[in-house]
Amino acid sequence: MPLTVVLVGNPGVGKSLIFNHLTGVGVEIGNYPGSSVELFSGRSCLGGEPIEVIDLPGIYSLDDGAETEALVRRVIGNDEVTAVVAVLDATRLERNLYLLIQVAEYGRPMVAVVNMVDLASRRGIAVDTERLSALLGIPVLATAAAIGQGIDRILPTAVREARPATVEVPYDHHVEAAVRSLERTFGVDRRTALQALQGLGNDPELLESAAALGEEIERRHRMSAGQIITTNRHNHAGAIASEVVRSSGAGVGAALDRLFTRTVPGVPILVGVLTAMLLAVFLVGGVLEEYIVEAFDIVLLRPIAALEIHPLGKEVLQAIGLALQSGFGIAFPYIFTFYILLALLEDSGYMSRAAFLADRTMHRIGLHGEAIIPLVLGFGCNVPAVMGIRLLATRRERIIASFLITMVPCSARTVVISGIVASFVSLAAALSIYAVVLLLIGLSGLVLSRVTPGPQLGMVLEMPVLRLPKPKMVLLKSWLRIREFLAIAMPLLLASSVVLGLLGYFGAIAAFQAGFAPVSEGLLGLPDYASTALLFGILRKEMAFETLVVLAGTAALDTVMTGVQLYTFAIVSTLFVPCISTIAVLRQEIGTWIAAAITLYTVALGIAIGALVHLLAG
Amino acid sequence: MTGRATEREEDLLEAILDSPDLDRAALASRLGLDPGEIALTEEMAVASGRLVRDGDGRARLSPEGHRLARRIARRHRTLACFFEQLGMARDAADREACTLEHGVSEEAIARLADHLRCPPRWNRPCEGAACAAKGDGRPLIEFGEGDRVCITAVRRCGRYRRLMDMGVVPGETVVVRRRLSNRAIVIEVKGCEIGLSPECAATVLASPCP
Repeated sequence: MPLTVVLVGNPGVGKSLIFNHLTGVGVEIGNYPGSSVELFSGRSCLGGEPIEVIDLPGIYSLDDGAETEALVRRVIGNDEVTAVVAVLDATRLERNLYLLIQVAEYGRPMVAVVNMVDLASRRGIAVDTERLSALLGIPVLATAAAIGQGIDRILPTAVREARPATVEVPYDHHVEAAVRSLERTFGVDRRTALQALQGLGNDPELLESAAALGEEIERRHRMSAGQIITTNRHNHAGAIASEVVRSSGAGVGAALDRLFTRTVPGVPILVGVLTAMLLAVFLVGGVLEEYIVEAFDIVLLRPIAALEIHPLGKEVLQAIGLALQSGFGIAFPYIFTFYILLALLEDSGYMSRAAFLADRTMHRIGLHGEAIIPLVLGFGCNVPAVMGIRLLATRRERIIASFLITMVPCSARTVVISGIVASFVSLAAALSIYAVVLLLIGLSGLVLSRVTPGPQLGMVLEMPVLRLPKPKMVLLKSWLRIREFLAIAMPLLLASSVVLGLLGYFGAIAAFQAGFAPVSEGLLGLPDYASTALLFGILRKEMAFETLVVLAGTAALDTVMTGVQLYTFAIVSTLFVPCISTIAVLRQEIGTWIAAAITLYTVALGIAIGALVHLLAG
Repeated sequence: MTGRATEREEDLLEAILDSPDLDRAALASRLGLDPGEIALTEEMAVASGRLVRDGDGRARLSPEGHRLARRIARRHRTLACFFEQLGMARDAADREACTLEHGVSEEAIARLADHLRCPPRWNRPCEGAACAAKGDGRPLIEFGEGDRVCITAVRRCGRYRRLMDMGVVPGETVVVRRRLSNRAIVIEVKGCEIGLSPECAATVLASPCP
């Protein structure tokens, strides 16, 4: 077992930046066994000895019942961890200490890192790290990760000087009595007893007794044991902070922020920012895609076409080549551009303002402001967006969000809409597809919010200070996201492309085309080969467009199909069935049944809307 | 002697566990009995050793009575939670649980509890008087921008846990920074700004700071 150092802290304290400084580029994203929460881990070394560094997800408290917090508890509780590095934000020390004193109760060797001292000193805040070290009983380092200051001392200190903290919260005497009683009766440690009093733990007998003791305490105090424990901890954190923090500056809140969090001009700004972002992706992506597609044609597809081998082998090679071409042709121009812009918005702190402003509108469709982040992410690619629903607090919200995200026109669908409708019909018609889809998302949300069972809890969202994003972190974040996309989508793309190639080779596609013809021709008024193109769209949405061009035998689609047919085809392929990668990730995140329901719903919706367009205009 | 407790006795023990200071008349009205019946039930419970009389003649739970009362209360909670999850209103679920709690076996309750994994109170949405806060003050949502207020109570429902972890605890001073037309608010607590949706802001009670 190598030396293991874990980083723990509140969201937005610069943990990831420190982790990035410590580990360089060799970052792995993995899931802790038995959990879907992501962990970042990387290697570093000290004096020739390897050290594994783990970046735990940002949390506010260890005593929350959610999966993320449970994971952090398990990692910190693991005896094999060499040292726990608690990262604190110098500008919000008091609230950060609240988490630190909970971590301290685990009795692990610890080091505290007071980060963002540069930002703090600009705002007139000074932290006395020596005094803090004396109060906590552990080494305390001051760092400014944004400028790389003090980072080099973290690992040596963590490995050589980390020790269990001596800080101890003086709890209310009734709580202390209950803790002692549980310790005696069940032979558990103090931390386990405290958690049991808050309803956390695995031993039903312990929990039952703790609940009974908790009821006693509540009767005396008119406050629950959990509330008392939390309050005691906050008070202790406040007492420590008041001894070590010297502040001469003004409070938080910049002039810019006042604009962002008002209905006017906040909402117009929000709409403008999101529209500008999508337009930028559209323009930049379109230009870059041409180059990438061209490059793949030259180095891969044309040489394959020129090979003189068995046709079956050639079919497979061509399928692989096409998968790589369109995978990269979508991933880098559209999705990567989108991720960079999104990371800029997130790292500047703007997304929290957006979430706050959108809360009421989102509420109508059964979600909360926080859900705007995965929904917007869906415009890039649905796959990471569906993963993003883990942020949401209840299963109800996760179900609703997964339905709606799946309907969001991702960049591949943008390719279909722009390639078919904007090119051959009109730009206004292309935009009208967006309008129709967004309207359907709203309507679906209205219905889902009424029929989905479960509680709706509301939003509690921290607003980080607005700041200029760091280009390096933006790129790193986008890179990790695109890598995750490639890791999930690429193998599926390759496999399904080969399967489709083989089906075509053995004539199965023609059979499908014949079977689906009544729907395609009768209901939607499309040529029979359009159904094959729609089928290919299940693999990758943009393939619907490419296949249509191949099957129609011309790139000038307007010579073989009418404007209404092109419009119908684009809207059906936009709505109908998420792509196979999205279905796979839906199944992983929300279960087979919901994934199947979403698939059926979108197929039905796509065909219904297509039939409606055909009926009205065709 | 400790024979099996009657339903009425179990109800009485449960009521005393919940509110130990109720007098006989209050207990009677709460259980829908007349005071004579309460007196009789008390006598039976004292005889069976589940209640003991203290100095001023008031009936208190004995350790055994306490255990039994807690067991019944747990059955009640589990059953009520089950019925609520089936879609019954809270009152109706409570009434149903009151009837069934006496006959149901320990195994059935244990299995039901496993099945439900009953959400703790703070993971339920806020509704009705059942989770009404104890405390003075007005909901945070009613204060205006710039008001400096002291938190007096936080209702134990909805995103209660997250609010507490962010420092929204009784006794804390917070400033209302922003208030939108949609009743969402931004508060400053412990030097951090936090956005709350209206349903969360409604669960926090506060009074103006002196």
